[in-house]
Amino acid sequence: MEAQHKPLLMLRSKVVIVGDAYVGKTAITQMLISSGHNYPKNYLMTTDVDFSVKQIRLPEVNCCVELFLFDCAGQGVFNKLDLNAVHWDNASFVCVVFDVCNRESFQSCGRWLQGVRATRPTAAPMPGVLIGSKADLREGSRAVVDAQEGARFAQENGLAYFEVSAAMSSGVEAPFQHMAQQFHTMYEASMRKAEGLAGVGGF
Amino acid sequence: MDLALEVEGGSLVSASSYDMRHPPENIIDGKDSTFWSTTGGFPQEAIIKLKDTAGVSIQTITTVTTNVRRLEIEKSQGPGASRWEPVYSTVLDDTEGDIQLHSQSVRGVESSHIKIKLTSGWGEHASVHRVSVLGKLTGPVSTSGRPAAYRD
Ligand SMILES: Nc1nc2c(ncn2[C@@H]2O[C@H](COP(=O)(O)OP(=O)(O)OP(=O)(O)O)[C@@H](O)[C@H]2O)c(=O)[nH]1
Ligand SMILES: [Mg+2]
Repeated sequence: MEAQHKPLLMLRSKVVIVGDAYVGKTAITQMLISSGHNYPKNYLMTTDVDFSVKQIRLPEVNCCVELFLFDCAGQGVFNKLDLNAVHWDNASFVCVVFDVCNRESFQSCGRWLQGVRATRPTAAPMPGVLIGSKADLREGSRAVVDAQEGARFAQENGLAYFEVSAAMSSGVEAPFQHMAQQFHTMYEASMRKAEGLAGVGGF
Repeated sequence: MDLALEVEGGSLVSASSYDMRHPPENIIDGKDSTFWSTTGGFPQEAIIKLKDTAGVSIQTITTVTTNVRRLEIEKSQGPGASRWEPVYSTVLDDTEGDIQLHSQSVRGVESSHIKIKLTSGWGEHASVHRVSVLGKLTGPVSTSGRPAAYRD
């Protein structure tokens, strides 16, 4: 018999995008949701949070993951971490962005990561990605954080590392594709687990 | 009597997410082995219409779930189910994906619909295996003789 055509499975996942001001979070988000058509050339500071949705298709598993993107403000007024934190509830993934030309923004990554993960006191740390942005500027050797350093920090902190250039529209989809894949894998794993619990409740 | 049970006349009105392998109707099929899976994100909710919308009195609500952190139960009286009031809310223990069994005595709550709300989770994907609503009919179709007299 022919294999049945399975209907599409829709999953939903919240991603919070954090990192210092001016590192390129909004540029990455805008390029992602416009499929490379909308690069914000002029800096427009994000003041609170910008919310958008991106659907990522996973054809091999007949699934579509809707990523709910929370592009947060990086500008530091005193308790910005606290102010931002209201947007971090129930996040599935954290996306920490730094600018490869700005060492200070790289050094802030740990603080951003901690802040987001603190909203979810579970045993396993919240998964996510680390993005080194403005990778196009590596050409002119203006970069001060190299890829190995980025990858090492990511690995030590349970993140996957990606380099992106929003300006060149290069590598923008990859980190989000990665999170969508991982989300589907996690979903299937928790379904297998729940299926294995048959009869345990038994009241 | 479990007033939510499908075979008793309970029905599922709506749910906030859907995977055809684990549909929301599994909440009221009377089995702990089948479940409704939430496909990501919180809050999530499902609405159950109870056996007899004319009038029931609920004594105990039992939920069988996994990965739920905050659980809220709300009630609504009347066929439209347009106004919701809280019945109780609780924070369940982190069982790392194992079954969370929670029972709450509600002492004669009157309601035609029950909403189960999963406000937050311990894991990405919560599952609801069963919602049992133990109670009595108080409406005119009750066979107890003095239906309206039942007030805890
Ligand atoms: N060369 C280069 N410049 C970029 C790139 N991405 C963003 N920029 C520029 O960097 C500046 C800041 O970008 P934004 O995306 O607004 O930065 P942000 O992280 O959202 O900043 P806040 O909203 O203040 O937190 C803008 O002027 C962008 O044009 C890139 O890939 N390459
Ligand atoms: Mg911004």
